[in-house]
Amino acid sequence: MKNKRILLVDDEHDFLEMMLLRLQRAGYLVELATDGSSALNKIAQFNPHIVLLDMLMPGINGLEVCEQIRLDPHFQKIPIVIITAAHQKDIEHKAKAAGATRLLSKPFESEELLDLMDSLF
Amino acid sequence: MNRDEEKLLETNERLRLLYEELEKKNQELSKLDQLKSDFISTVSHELRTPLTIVKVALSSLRDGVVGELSEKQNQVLETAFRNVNRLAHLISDLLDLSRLESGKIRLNKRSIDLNILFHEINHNFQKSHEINNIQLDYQAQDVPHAYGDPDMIIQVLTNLIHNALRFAKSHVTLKASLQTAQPEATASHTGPFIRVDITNDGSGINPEDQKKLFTKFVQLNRPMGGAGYKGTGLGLSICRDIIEHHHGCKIWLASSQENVTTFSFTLPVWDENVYFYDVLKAPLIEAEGEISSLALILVGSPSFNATSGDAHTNEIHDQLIKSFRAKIVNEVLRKKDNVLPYLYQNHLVLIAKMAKEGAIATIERLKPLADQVEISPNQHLEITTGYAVYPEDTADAMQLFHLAMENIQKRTS
Repeated sequence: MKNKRILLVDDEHDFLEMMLLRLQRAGYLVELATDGSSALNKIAQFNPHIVLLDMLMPGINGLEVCEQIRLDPHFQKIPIVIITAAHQKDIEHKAKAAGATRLLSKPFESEELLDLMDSLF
Repeated sequence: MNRDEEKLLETNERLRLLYEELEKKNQELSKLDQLKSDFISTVSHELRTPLTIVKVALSSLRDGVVGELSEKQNQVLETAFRNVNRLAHLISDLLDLSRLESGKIRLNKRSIDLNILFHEINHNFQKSHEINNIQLDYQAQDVPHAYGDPDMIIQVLTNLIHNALRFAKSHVTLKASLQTAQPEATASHTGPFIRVDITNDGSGINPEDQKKLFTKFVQLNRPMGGAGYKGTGLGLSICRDIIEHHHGCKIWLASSQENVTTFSFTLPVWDENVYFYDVLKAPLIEAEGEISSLALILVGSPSFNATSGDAHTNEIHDQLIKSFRAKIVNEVLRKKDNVLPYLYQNHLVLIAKMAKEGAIATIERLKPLADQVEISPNQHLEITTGYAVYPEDTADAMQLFHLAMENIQKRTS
């Protein structure tokens, strides 16, 4: 997975730290953003292969960030994974409408995360 | 006014006050119940993020991401892992239960081939280490399709089989059968239904314990906080709530002296009319609330008519419908619109929030789409279309369908 870039967006510092440790160890290049606005600022420059977006964030939430990313023709096909603590059935409709590729439900394990990343490349 | 009339008025007034008081208490109880459900839902939700952090941290340690661990350190880590997973199950069960009890859950009901479902479940259990030396048999031949939410029915069956495997000596059997009438306890539902039995040859359950089994946090053979299997004690309550959300169906338990325990539940038989009503209900209520229009568009074709050919012909027929449906979803409809996954009376049914003009424009786009589908060399898919709009044409679901059928006749004649 060398040189594959992931943009990880979450407002929880500990969550970012653990995910970064795991994803970097698996060989990914990871850029972090702690809210929706900085994610939107970073995306063009970092040009990720995958975006991992937490759904609930202060300010612009994950679904809104997803919608805005899709407005850019360059990122219309990029895989966007929404990470959520909500019940999958409650939000799968909204996530699909916002243009999300997949949902990842909390709590998940490292294997689940890495398998999902593998399947998206 | 005589004395009798006065007494009657007095009694009436007392009754009225009592009724008002009861009504008030009921409202307070409903409010408390809602608060409880919201509280459980919020807490479960909030617990999931820290739980994910702990799980990812533990698995990073286990997988040597931050260095190799000694055998003793690994043992300690495994204990932590097991208990974090137990906590995750408990939180997940609590959230499921609060969703079911609050009525917020929306079932995604479909036609279910129990034979295929049993096969998949059996396959998953065979792969797991839980099965040990227990033989798991299943039988659902010659049973019509059931009507329910497949994911939820899988959850119920998985839960009941987990339990059965824990207590079985050598056998667990899973059986579906068609029954002509509901058992006495489920008189609210009439007509044929499907009964599913999960039987194990374990140690039997005494009648006193049987009564407690569907109560939250009750686990037999393990007092709270004691040793033994660490389940959540919520599984059977969840199963009961899921089954009771299926058109007055029921779940129950029979355990005999011969040490055979059977959990049984009922499911409705698949009925395309019931499905059609169910699927139209929510968008119709939504359209009513928003004071907007809802169009029902029907797409028919001589190529859609049921085939009685061999398996290969049937497969081609199903594939044609599936691919044309996918084309409509991807190329014509907006994200909020819907096409029923099954044909209803040999027609594809499109449900879209739009008025007459929108329905006509949508139909215009269907014809060129059908022209792109080749059913045999140089022969393209021929379609007929019709529509009816709520509330302009009618407010009744079935009438909406009949008017759309009439519209097909008008448009083709």
